[in-house]
Amino acid sequence: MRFDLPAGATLRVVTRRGHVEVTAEDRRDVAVETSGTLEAKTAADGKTLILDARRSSARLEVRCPSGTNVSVGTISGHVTLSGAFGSVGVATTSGSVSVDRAARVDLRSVSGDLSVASCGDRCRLLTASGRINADAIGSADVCSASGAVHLGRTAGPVSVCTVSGEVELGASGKDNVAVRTVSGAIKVNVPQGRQPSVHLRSVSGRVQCDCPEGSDFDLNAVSFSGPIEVESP
Amino acid sequence: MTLSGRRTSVPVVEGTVMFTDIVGFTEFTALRGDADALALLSTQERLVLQELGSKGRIVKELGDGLMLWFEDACDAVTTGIALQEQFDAQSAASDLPLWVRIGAHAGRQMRRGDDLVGHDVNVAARIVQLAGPGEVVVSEATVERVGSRLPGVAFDQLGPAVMKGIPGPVVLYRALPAPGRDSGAAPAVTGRFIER
Repeated sequence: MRFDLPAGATLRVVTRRGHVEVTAEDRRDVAVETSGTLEAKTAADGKTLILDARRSSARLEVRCPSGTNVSVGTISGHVTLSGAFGSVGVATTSGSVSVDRAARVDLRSVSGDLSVASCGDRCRLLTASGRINADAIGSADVCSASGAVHLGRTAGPVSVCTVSGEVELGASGKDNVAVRTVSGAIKVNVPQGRQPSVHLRSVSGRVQCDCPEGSDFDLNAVSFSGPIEVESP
Repeated sequence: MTLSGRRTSVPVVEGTVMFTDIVGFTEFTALRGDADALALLSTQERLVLQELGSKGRIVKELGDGLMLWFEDACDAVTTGIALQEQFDAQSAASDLPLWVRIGAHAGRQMRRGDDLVGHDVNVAARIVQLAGPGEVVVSEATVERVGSRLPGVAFDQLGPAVMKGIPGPVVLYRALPAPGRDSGAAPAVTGRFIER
């Protein structure tokens, strides 16, 4: 099945279960492959193509133009987005979500894992018990209850919150970093030569900072019982 | 219907149901003890009552969360945002991790004594599960009821959510102070800003 997608339009996919795979590539239309039932319609605003596969649990494969804004809603299906997208928003109850490249990302899951390879701008990742992994992202607003958070390289302000999940992140060296946990361990890697203004507080955990202090950026880390470690190569 | 089969009228109200939920409450209680946990709950309730005034009411307490009801969706949204500002300030000024997520949905609810039940209550309860701490996440129905009456509030569309037990997808929005809003001023009442 093929559908026209006006420039700047948003692709909205809704399903209940079953793997959703969206690939952004060099093309102008939207192509969909599924062995299940699919309803396609344009929203009243005329700028949103809605693909509704809620009556089926079959795998859904969607191909769309590079840079497309995509939003996906599902209960338990895993969601994989490959290629380069504009804004990406995914809400799922238990499915895991994996995003290759996007300008902006908002991923929410109750128990699924969230993974982003690259996000140029704002990256918001929320899960209760899933793990969060992001490699190269801009600004980050991240929260997990019990899942671990790993942010490889960040290039903007970072705010991370976990309850018991451990946090490891690479600071940009110029943008502020704020991490708070109840009992999770915190580890922040500071780029060589950068000197943050450090405010670390753990009520009962060990606090260690191997980084020279200065005023390049603010680094705030608070934990009630988890250890806090700041490292610089 | 009653047990005897006679049909009775069901009191239905229209309004916005809001749920609050403290993130990490169980871990905090295990770590800090019951007295500190109680203090956290009391702080949440005090701030909610303070912000609520006569705009809405607490329907019931739900462990570490609250169920609130507002007649006007605008009051629900502005109260939710104000509450997050209060929770944030309180957390910064104390050792209490008042990390609260808020979800709201406008629709019809059935009265059952002081309680409210029904499909739209269930939707609101599902929405809060997809909100993060510090966030106010609302349904499209809530945004539509607000209409153009809150220029001081921005609604950032998050996309559709398909929820267990709820037939249709619910498009979610994150409500937040609009850029340039004077945080001390009450939101003005024209225009709306929806940005993705």
